[in-house]
Amino acid sequence: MDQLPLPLLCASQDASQTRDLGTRVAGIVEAGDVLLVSGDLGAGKTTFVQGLARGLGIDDPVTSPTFTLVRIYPCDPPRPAGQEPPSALVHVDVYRLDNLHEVSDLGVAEELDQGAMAAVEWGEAVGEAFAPAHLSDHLSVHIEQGLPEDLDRRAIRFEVTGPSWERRRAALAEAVAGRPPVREEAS
Amino acid sequence: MIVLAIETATDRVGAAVVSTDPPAGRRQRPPDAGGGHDQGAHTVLSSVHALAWRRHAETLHDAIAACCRAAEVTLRAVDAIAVDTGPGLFTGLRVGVATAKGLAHGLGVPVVAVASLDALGLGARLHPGPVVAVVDARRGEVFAAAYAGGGDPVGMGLLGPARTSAARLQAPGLWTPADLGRALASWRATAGAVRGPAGGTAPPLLLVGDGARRYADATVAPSDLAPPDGTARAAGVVRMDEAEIAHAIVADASHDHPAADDVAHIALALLAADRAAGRPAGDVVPTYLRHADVRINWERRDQGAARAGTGSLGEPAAQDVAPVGFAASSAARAKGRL
Repeated sequence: MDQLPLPLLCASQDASQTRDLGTRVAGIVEAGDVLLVSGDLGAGKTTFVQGLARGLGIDDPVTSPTFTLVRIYPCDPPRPAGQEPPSALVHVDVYRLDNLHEVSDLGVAEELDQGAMAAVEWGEAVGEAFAPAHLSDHLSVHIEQGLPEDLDRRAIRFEVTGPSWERRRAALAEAVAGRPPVREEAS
Repeated sequence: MIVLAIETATDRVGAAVVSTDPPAGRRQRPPDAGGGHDQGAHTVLSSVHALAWRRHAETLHDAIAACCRAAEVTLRAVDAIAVDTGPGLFTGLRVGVATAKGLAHGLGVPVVAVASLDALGLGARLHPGPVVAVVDARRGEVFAAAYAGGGDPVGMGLLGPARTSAARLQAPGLWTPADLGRALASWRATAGAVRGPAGGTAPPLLLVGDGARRYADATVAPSDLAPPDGTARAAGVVRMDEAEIAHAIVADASHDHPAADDVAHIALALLAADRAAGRPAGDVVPTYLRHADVRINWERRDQGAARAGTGSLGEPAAQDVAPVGFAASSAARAKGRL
């Protein structure tokens, strides 16, 4: 990538706003997308994915896959002609894994190949398992917890990598607008 | 000896029951009665294959049951379980390996691991030239191995007394289609050298497998496929009767998947070799060619757990999280990790 990815920061006042952000991002995801969702325990990674699932029209309750590792939710969100909607949301949590081959073992690549999208909690540590060098498209979503005096507050940082997400950068910024932007910065 | 073979490394599920006893020793059957055929000293009593896509778990047990019924053997009569351990689809390998181990444990018989690419390559044993077996690894990559082939129509060296590695020009590995395409010429040259100057045109290299067909355009250059009259043709699937005019050809869909029969044939050869060498059967695990031994860098998780005062996986005390330096530090992390 010649151009450095520009991060996009949003502030979330509470869990419901984090969930809303997920729902907004759901409007622009496509088949084969990989979202690497990071943040400490309790930051709201699952909350974000719950919003994403709601935005994809998934009615099933979405719970943290910390113990089940992978949950697959079929979906069929409406998309304009020419855009391929994800056929399923694959919700992954790699927190309990220690080796990348265990990540391969989950078979997520096969789901992506079949038109699903993946949201991977703790994904920043295992990005290469989903985004090999020659296929590096992904969206990083990093959730940072707030000040001790404002525990509900979160800073949520989106970072796009790869041509498919570069193309959608403006759409992403538009999708998450409505949350007060903290700042836009060139890194 | 009767071997039950399990094949789940690709979209197709397969089971086969193969016996080392001559057919007449088991039951009277004229040679051309169908239903079974000789492979070297082995007899395929039955084999069942079905496209499962990713429904391996739902399909495999029915396939095994149908296969045993057709062969008129019960599971109790099985002396060893052969299983394809990949590389291949993890959704399939999980099911196949777990089933093989479960059956073997219950029956008190050994499990033999067979490489998917060996079985896939053996399926092209009638090809006169070198064979490259290519399994679709998804995410734009393929698993591939190369075999000299050609000199041994029965088993391509895969069924001989040596272990299968002796038959390989190139051990199973993870490739991008472009890199694989660049390696083809060297394998063709090596295979030619191994087999000696046969005179005339060397037979073309044959690519088999779902990965070979999916990425035919990326691996086989159009010039390799160009007929001598210069007629341009797109790279892709070439009929077997065009073999004479091409350097490399891609087999049709009938060679997309390894067959359980071939898994059984290779397993019997491995069993015989192990027995001759006094080697005990080893453990059977899926083959990980991607990130095989890469430990996850859990700096962040472990820091978080330590900060939360749990030292392990408990819920954190959120107020311990430091709010400063967020933008700069996460940018550095993102660059370092990906």
